[in-house]
Amino acid sequence: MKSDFWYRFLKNKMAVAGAVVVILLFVVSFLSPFISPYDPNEIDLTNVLSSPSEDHLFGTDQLGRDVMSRMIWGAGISLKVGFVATGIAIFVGAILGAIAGYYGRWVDAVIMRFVDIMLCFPSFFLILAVIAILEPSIWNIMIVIGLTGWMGITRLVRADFISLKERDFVQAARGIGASDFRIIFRHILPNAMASVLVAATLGVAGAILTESALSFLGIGVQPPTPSWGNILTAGKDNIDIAWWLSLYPGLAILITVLGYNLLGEGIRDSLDPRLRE
Amino acid sequence: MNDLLLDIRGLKKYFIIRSGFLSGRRSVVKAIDGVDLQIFKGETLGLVGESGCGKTTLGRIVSRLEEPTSGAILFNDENVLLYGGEQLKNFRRNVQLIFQDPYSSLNPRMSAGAIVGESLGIHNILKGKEREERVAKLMEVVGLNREQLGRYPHEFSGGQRQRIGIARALALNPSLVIADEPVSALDVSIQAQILNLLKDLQAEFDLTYLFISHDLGVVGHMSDRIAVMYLGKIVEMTDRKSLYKTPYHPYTKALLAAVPVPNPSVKREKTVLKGDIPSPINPPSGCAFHPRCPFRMDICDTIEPELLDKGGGHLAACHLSN
Repeated sequence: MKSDFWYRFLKNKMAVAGAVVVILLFVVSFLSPFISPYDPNEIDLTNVLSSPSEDHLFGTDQLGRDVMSRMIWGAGISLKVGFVATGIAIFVGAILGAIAGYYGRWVDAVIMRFVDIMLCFPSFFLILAVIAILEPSIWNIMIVIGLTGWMGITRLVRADFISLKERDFVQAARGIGASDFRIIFRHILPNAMASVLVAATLGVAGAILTESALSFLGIGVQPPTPSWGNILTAGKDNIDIAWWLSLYPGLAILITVLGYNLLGEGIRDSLDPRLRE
Repeated sequence: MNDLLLDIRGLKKYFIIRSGFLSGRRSVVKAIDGVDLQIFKGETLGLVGESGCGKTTLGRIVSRLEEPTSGAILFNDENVLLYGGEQLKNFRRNVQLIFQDPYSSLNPRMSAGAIVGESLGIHNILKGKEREERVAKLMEVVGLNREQLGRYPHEFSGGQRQRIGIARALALNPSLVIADEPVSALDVSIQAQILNLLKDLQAEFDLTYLFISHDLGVVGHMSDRIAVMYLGKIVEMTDRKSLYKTPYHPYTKALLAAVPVPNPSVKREKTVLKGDIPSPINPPSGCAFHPRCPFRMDICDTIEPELLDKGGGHLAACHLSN
């Protein structure tokens, strides 16, 4: 079964491309102190908005900071936001989904109606409102993105639990006296992780996109901390004279989100070829 | 031999099915409708019947995986249906299940050793090395190698998986093992191995079996006494010999006629059942078997026959022999 997965995954060129992008991003963000050519916050007012050159491959911004260095550091921020936010979403979503699916009846009804209510809010505006009230720090952003993104995972996990809890191995676990806690976390959840993994990969892409949008609007990651989104903001102000300020971070966001989506879809198709549509 | 281990009294299990979204119409499925059954220490009680007759539900209720609608189950003279919490947990040590489908009864994400040894951890029996040793012993007892402890279920064949399921059931040293169609998902050649293993284990560990099957041939091979179930009721119950020699109920006769005989030249009385088992939502009036019965009488349409002693402890519920 495992080798089948890798066989199908490696045959899927788009998925491999996505995986390569994701791995590259990891490498870049972990090595950012070593590979960034300049200090991302080093201001050089003699060299403001200079176009891409040998010294500054991606040019400089309105304060003379090296765009490439800022983007390399920004990759780490994106990654952090993506993973922490998705981690929160999985934690909340998996637990609520597990409880709803396992206990059923009114517990299920209450949790799933709560999910429906949460899905009714346009989540981006909810995030905007919450960030406007709270302080726009990177941790607040991660938490808010996470807490508005768990509903899909709840639905997935619940559906898996409903079908898995009737399986004989779960009955056998009850038969040897296993507690509900043990049955949920030891027996059912590990068997429901496949769909969660796919949702998580796609969720990371969504979280990165949301973070960029928030930063672009100025209520995300606050300057001087570099983020692809706030580099874009500077780009917007100078778009007629400094195209590189918009193009490179925009491309970075595009490629990253595409990479995660391709990887997620690749994992899904390789886990179960019947799901491929 | 004659010590009572399990005494099931007036057991009923009704499932309520709501049909219609607004009308709220309810229909009741009588999966088990008043079953009395005794199991004695050290014996094998066979429970036969077609699929849908409630035999699996009965096994699941006895092992407390499902709650009955009414009735009592006395285990060593205590009503286990009143158990909860720690008492229930202790009761589970005494009663273990072997499942029908070895492909769905083992957690695909746990190794064979973890599956077999899990119950020892839950009940805090043995630790560390001793537990490992016990798990390895159990594997050997059911005919597997201790080297296979680290393997995962998909690396085993169906018969081997069923052996793991049996080892799991034995880990807690139960006194009653409920085997729910333990061989019907296996190849015929493997069936015999598993049946013989179950017999050997019974002798070795003083086990009592409730052996559930739809195959009277298999049940006959295994059981000391046999109960025949039809639509949630016991219709005939006696020791194996007299069931084979003098079956009273036409349903039992039909089941016996369906058992293949190795010698093709043997001529037998053929009773072939027509139709399917009726829906338990709307069971026939009188004797539930009458629409399919070749010996049907007028009385069968209206009056339900009682389970009566036909002599020598041979119980049957049929007007024909009254």
